[in-house]
Amino acid sequence: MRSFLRTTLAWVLLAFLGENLISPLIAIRGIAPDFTVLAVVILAMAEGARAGALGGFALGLVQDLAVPTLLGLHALCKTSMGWIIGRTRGRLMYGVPMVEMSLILVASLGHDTVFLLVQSRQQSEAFLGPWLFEAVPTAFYTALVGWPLVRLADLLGILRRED
Amino acid sequence: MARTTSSGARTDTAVGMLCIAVSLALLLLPDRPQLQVAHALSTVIVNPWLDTRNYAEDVLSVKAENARLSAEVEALKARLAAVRRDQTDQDRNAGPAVAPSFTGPLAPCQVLARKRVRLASMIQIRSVDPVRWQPELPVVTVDGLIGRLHTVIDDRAAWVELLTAPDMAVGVELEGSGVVGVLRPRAGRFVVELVGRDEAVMPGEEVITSGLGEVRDAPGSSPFGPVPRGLRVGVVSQVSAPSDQVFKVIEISPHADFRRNETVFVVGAEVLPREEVTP
Repeated sequence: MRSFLRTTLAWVLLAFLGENLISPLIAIRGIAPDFTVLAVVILAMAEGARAGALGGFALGLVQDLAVPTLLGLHALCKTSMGWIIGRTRGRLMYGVPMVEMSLILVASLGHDTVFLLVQSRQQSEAFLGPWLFEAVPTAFYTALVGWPLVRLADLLGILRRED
Repeated sequence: MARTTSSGARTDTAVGMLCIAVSLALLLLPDRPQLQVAHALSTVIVNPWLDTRNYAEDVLSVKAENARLSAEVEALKARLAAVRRDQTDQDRNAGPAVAPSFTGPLAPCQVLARKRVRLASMIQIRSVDPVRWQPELPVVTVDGLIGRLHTVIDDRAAWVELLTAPDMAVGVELEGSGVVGVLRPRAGRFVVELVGRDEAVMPGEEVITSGLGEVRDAPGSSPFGPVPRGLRVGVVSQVSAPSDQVFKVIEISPHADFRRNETVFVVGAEVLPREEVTP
């Protein structure tokens, strides 16, 4: 129970504080790490597919409420991401920087790709520009910032070994 | 054990699929219901957080806002005080005694010394800035016309001949009737000469400069002297029309005090550009 509370507190704080406070401070030319993606990744790595999907859905829904014309899109992307990462738990070799960074990179890029595909209604002009100039740099920045956070979560005992 | 793991995986999949299904359902809603659902969910989920965040931001910013508002209040107080001062000055008729429509330059000068010689009464003045003096420029106080520029010493200092000087003559106008005449000092009094005995002049009438040239001006010169029209001079105190004279005898009380002055203004004296200033 204590572990669950600690994990919940960690990812909720990471998502909200990171997105609202830290992200604007460390943004470079408007590109900032996506702390909500990081939070779902850490949650899914810590608790598995079920928690990853539920957490992703909740976090995505909160984000969707800011842009109600695409209500459900963030929720869909983050649910899928959390569920998939939760499912890969145990199949990847954690503790290796390249693996963890790649996981975050792929998660962020996959999330943004699906999001942009739906948002742009598959029009290449509306998809390619944002994907190249926003999604890709954001994914790399998120991976760069995310890896130390994943390591910190591991040190704090949040990333438990699979049952 | 394997059954437990398999059951857990199925539950994970079911939860994941359920979340995805709900997300898709929300996403595929028509625009209007989608907005209504979003509004309802916002009220429950997001608004309390936003309200709390806004409140926290308000609390954090209130101190800085207070400081800004205090500064604005002080600035407004200063402006109010300035407006009140202006109003008080206007009520007292303070300021150089020129017509409100006058737009020419005014050179503020300090009265340095007063000199009394036979048939002359003059004061020495010193301008704050170097100015281009011109002969006969009128000099006023806050109350009214006091005299004319007499002798230039340098680009800052000059002598001013007061209205009390025996040979002084200024073209004046009775403001109410528009009658013009010539103001002259006569044995400690000031009289307006050359006003016909048939003119309607009443005591209490305001006397201003007429802007017309002096009668002593050279023939052929401009009828307009350096004294502009509208400078306040005084008020008619006595009027009489002796039967043996062609002109009325009009006596005025000058507004200006000739005994003591600290600051006077030379009307029409332009401040010299820096390059023209004599070192």
